[in-house]
Amino acid sequence: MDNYKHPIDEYFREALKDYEPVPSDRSRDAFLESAGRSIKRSRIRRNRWFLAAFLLLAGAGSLSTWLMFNENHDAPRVTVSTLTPSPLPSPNFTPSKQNGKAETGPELVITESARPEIPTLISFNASPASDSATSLQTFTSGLPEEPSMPDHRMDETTLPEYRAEPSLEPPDEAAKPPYRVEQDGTETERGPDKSASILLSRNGASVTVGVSYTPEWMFNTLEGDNFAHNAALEGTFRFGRYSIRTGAGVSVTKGTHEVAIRYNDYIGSYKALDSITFAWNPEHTQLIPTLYLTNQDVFDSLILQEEHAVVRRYTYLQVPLILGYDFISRPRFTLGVRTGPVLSILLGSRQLSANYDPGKDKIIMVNQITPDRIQMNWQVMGGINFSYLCSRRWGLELEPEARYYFNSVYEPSDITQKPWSIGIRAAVNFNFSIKK
Amino acid sequence: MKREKEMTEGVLSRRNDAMKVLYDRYAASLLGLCCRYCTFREDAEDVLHEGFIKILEHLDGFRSEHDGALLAWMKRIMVNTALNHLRDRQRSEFHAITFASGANQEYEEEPDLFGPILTSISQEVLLKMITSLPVGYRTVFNLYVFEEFTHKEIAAVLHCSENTSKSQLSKARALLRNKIQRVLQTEKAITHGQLQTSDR
Repeated sequence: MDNYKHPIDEYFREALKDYEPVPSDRSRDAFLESAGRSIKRSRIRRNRWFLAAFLLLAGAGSLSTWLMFNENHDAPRVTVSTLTPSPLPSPNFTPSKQNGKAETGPELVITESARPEIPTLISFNASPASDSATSLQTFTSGLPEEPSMPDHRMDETTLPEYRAEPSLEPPDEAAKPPYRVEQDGTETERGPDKSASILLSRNGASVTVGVSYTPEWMFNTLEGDNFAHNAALEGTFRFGRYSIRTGAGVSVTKGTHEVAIRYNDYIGSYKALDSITFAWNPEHTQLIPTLYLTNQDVFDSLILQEEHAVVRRYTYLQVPLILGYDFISRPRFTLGVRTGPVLSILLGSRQLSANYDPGKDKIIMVNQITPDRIQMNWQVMGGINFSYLCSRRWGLELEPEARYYFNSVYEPSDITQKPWSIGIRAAVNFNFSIKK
Repeated sequence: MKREKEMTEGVLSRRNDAMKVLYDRYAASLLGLCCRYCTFREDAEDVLHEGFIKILEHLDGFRSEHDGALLAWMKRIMVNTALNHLRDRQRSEFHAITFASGANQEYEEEPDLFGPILTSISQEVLLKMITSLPVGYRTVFNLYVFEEFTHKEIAAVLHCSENTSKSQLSKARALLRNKIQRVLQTEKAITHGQLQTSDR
């Protein structure tokens, strides 16, 4: 500012420096109302960031948990088949290991066969041997034609149904806090909370839709403890403190299916002589034999048994019907109980681990240890629901819950072991309608 | 400063009681500022309302360094709001001043012929004098006298030249001086008339 102080300037400055007219009540009320709306907008804006962060964390947590527990073994679908040897050699021959010393016959020039499957010559013990006959008998008895081995990749009918979770209960839409419509003049710090424009009346009704995620830990199963991922799209109808929640969800869990495999241990192989042909040499002085050999595997007569577990992923469709009651109801949050039945339907399964690899052993029989899983089962759930209303439309829920299965998840009905589980459901809800 | 800081934090926390305190404490002072820029009281209250909303929206960016910093900051916002209001309502508020000899002629301050004012005039009358000025004169006068802007700053804010700002200010002073003289003459005439009346 210029240094020169004009007297008019000084006069007006001094005269009006303390001029403070009182604003009208209308102006004051208008400002406070606008400030309230501004509060609401900023809170909604802030809650949207909170909501976005929550969704991001929930998605990241689910993905990381999924990846952590998803043991995809990329098992090749290999069908186990019995090794079927070619026709048995004569009992007069004793099979021996390869590279045995060949016994030459009289004036025989032994050459390799032209057949590619008989690359080398083996020595033969021309004298019949009883022990060889015994061993051959073993071979004979132990080498069935080609027993039809069941596919080691246990199909769904063989593997036990391990129903780990089906807790795809729709989030408690009804747990959304019923906001009291209060029009009293007192305003709390969260004035918009009591505003009738965003709060539900306790006596009003509303419909909300939301998505939920529930990690679930199962106990008392044939396969031991298990973990499941549940996600659902749910709708809740609220009327006052009561609510009804239903929807559809997907539950994914992993289970192991154990089988007992009986087999004969592989000992070794030898080349069995199939046939011999003779031909004169050009000078007609010698007979040149040609041997045709085939590879023969030798298995132990002792039947061994081995247990093998295959990991499978099961996918269920869950349809819940949850009833709720809020015994604590505040403008922003509610606390209540939820209970109801849940129906689980097996949609499919997929093998994750590799098939049993018998190597060169010969499979005799495959017996199923773990029962198959049933297609449908019922559970009952109970939980404590806590919900928080972020804005007029959006709300969050947290619900620790427990489930009990009415029937085992496995096929045979004589299995009395009924699983139970605990989980924590987290949901995000959108309020569609508000009716007072 | 502690109370000011607590109030600011309360407003940032979006507490209604803190907002009421903020409004009740500063609204009168800021309304006085708005009244100097606007012709009518209603316009001044509209500017006050709009300015307060802006204050709420930008309060999180304010850092209180000393006492009175909040009021000064709020006044700045209110001035800008008032100027925007005037721009929206009147496009041609500044009267271009063309000099007879060249545009870069230095404007000379007129000599001080006013002299001290012996008679006090009420604030409402003085405010009326200011609001009765043309918009351009009034705006420059307010920015220069009350907001203590330099002519260079006024020129930057109002998008005019410094000479224009100076001439506007000079004309404003001239008009105000005339108004004050008329008021003084009127008061003198009334006083003299009363004495004459009482003498009879």
